[in-house]
Amino acid sequence: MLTCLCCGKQETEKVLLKDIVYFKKLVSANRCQTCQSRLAPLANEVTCLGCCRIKQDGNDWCLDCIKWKKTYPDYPFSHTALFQYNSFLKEWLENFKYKGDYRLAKLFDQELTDYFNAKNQKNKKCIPIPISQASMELRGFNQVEELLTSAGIEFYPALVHIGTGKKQSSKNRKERMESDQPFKLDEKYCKQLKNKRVILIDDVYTTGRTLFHAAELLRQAEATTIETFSIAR
Amino acid sequence: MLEISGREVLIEELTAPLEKDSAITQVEGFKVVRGQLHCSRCGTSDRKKRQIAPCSCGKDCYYCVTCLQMGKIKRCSILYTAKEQNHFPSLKEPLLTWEGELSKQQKEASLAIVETIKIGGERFIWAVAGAGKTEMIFKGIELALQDKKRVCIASPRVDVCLELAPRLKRAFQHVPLAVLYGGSDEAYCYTQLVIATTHQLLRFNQAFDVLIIDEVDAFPFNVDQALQYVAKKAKKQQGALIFLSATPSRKMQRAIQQKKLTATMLPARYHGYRLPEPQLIWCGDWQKKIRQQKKISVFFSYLKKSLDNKRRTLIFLPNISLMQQVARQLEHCFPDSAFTTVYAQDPKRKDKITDMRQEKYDFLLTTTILERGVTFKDIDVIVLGAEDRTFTESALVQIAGRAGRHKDFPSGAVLFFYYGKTRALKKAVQQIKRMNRLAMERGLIERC
Ligand SMILES: [Zn+2]
Ligand SMILES: [Zn+2]
Ligand SMILES: [Zn+2]
Repeated sequence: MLTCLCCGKQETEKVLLKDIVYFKKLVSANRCQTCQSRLAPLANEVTCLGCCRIKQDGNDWCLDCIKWKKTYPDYPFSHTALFQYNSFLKEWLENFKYKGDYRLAKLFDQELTDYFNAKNQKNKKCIPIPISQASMELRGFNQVEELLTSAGIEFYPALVHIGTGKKQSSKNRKERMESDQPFKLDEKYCKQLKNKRVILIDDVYTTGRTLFHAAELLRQAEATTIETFSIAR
Repeated sequence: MLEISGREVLIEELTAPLEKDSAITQVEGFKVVRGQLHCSRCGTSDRKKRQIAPCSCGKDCYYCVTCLQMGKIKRCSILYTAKEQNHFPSLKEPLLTWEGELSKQQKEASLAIVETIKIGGERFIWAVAGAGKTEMIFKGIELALQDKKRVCIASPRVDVCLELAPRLKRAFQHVPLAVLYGGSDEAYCYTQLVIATTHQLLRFNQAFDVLIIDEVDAFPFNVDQALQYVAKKAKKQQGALIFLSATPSRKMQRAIQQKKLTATMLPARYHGYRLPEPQLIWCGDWQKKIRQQKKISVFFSYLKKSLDNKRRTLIFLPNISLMQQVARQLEHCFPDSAFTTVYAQDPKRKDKITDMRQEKYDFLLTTTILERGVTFKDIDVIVLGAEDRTFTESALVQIAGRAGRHKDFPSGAVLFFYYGKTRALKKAVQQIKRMNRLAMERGLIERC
């Protein structure tokens, strides 16, 4: 019997034959079929080469990403996101981050394990986006770090938040785009990142502003490649 | 200070910072009562409902999962509370600006409510659908307000609260009224008269001299315990507690029968005609017939007759899937009739109900969602599959209560098509018949 993490409904678990046949590592499911069906994976969609949003037109790069290219001409950015940021994921983030329901850190254990344990991801250093001191005091945890911890993924908290802590979500788009660098590098990790491949991790990619700020610092630390990753786009 | 008078809230729930005052008490997020750890807001003591989580307090911290949606109560949380002040401005007379006339049974109930409000204690008002239960609480509220008592009308359902608010505003035009529900845009304001969802009552502490809980049977699971807790918390110990319902739970019915709970019965509708009694019609294994794409003959022939007689009908089904299958068959068999289906999450629900009210449909197929609140002027009611578990005793009584509401159309047919008589089915019919008998004995309805 599984109790759905999202809606609390109880359901009998189904183990698919193909999972056994292919020796897939079985992580116990934690959401019911209704909630599962509300997830919109991006893996099978045709997406923008830059930010992983579903393609709006025939162009490989969306208009926002073309602007980013102009701002950061020598940063070959490439973002990966797992799911569309739809009503289901909005509810999840609302409950996890703002209502502070810590249990929801487990929701993507399976997907995160699958992604970060894949062969091509080995030897990359995972760096979570930090949260402000004010958010930390309110929430008591960094939601990105907890997602990774829950999935058993090693990470390096190489970035420190130095901003005012005004929530991104309370700013309008223009304010967000113009906001100053909110992070700095933690001295301890500086040397460890040199000539290393890194993945920056956030919960959701909205405008990209946060991740580009973070990437800028990692380029200064001379990381070889910088990828970015989020649960939602 | 007045903001936390009779309240128990987190600092972030306040609209203004608290000034220092010796009357303010601080309560920890969790407290031990009789050796058991409880959430101070919702009273939950189940260990599984306490989630350990990292916290900025740096200690081993946990939070309450049960009431998380109202804001996190942590081990390190502090709730602020102050004794209810009953500090209200003088009100402009007359308080009660409603000028309607109460029926004989409403007058009796109104007197009983006044009595309970004066001396305290509990009273159950069991009023059939269409008895007009809102009007009979007005007199009691007026007296309580004059006595500087703080009054709250609560319901487990937001829609009931929202429906009640304008009626109460009209009845007490000069009395400030706060309407509290989750997701409301309005900030909390200290008032003598309050409408709140039972959830919001958790933010009060020994505040009300009079607490009236409407549609008490709609309280979600864990019913009696949670309800008792919330009432005990929000109401003053000496205060009056009044329950209103058309369909009390079996447990409450038992308490009434055993005279553990004082009850006032309102068995008649305000228009003085008897409640339509359901006809039970056996329809065989109707679900099998649907699967085999066969007509459920008794049901179809009844519906045909009804359509020929230009009667409009609400047809209740146990679930969406069955509803849609029946709809497909009906489409095939009655191509000239106008009808549609509607269910709880139906995005067009409101429009469809409005259209039905405006008589744009001959019949409407629905799952159990229409059972409360929604009324149609002149309508027959059918339940197909009345034996299904979703149709509890109170659901069936509520559904039957849709018929004959209007004084110009006081009769309407109620048909329960069933395959196997359940206890709920028998009890529902008994309950309706008993109410009619009671109304007759008390001379509240005409013999017809
Ligand atoms: Zn893009
Ligand atoms: Zn609680
Ligand atoms: Zn704490």
